[in-house]
Amino acid sequence: MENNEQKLTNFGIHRPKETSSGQALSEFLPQLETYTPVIPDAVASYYMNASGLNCSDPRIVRLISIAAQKFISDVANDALQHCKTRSSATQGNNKIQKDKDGKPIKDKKFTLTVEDLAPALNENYGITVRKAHYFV
Amino acid sequence: MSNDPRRKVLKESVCLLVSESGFTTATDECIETLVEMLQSLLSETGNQTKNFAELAGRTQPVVGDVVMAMINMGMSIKDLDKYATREGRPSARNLNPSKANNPLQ
Repeated sequence: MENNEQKLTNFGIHRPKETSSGQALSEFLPQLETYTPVIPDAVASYYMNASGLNCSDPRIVRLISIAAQKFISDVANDALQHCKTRSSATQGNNKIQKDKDGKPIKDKKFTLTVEDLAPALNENYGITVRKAHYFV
Repeated sequence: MSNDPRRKVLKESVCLLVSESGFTTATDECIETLVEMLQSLLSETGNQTKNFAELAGRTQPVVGDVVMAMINMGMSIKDLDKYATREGRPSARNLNPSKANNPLQ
């Protein structure tokens, strides 16, 4: 009986059972009403207005800001991985860095440089970072 | 260097996200690159959303238009809700300090 019903609703087309990303997003939408993204709504909506989008629904502005935020976070995370592998490769495994008192340093400080950012962007997004030819 | 206040706000946002990901310092060049990318991404998503809304005969965009715009640009919308509600996100912690630092109430 159940199988028959399923056949009727699916019209003979195989539809996977798991929830699609669109469904997950529609469940998330009501939460956006009270959400505060890192990029302020006013700034995000200014740039959207500048590109021709007239949007009165704050949920749309917030959704786009979250997507932009996620992009920057992903890039930063990839750059951090690059930074970590690069520093461990140069340091090698024969020597543990020590501070003045001779105790090993556990928390390493990482600096975001173009050396890490450029390969992270190039490998995962196909974006080549370089200075313009007039930039000296 | 521009004096545009919106760029300053974007720079602040980028710095917050970069420090959240685990960096303690960053060069000016990198931050400027990321700010430029963020600004460009916001404009492009807005433009694509407008195009999809107009294609459907609407002037006001709906969420479906944003989703289509993101898919068209090759961005994943799968983990967006998980990312937005992640633990220790800076918006909840740092952007409303007045509520957190008021012991007299």
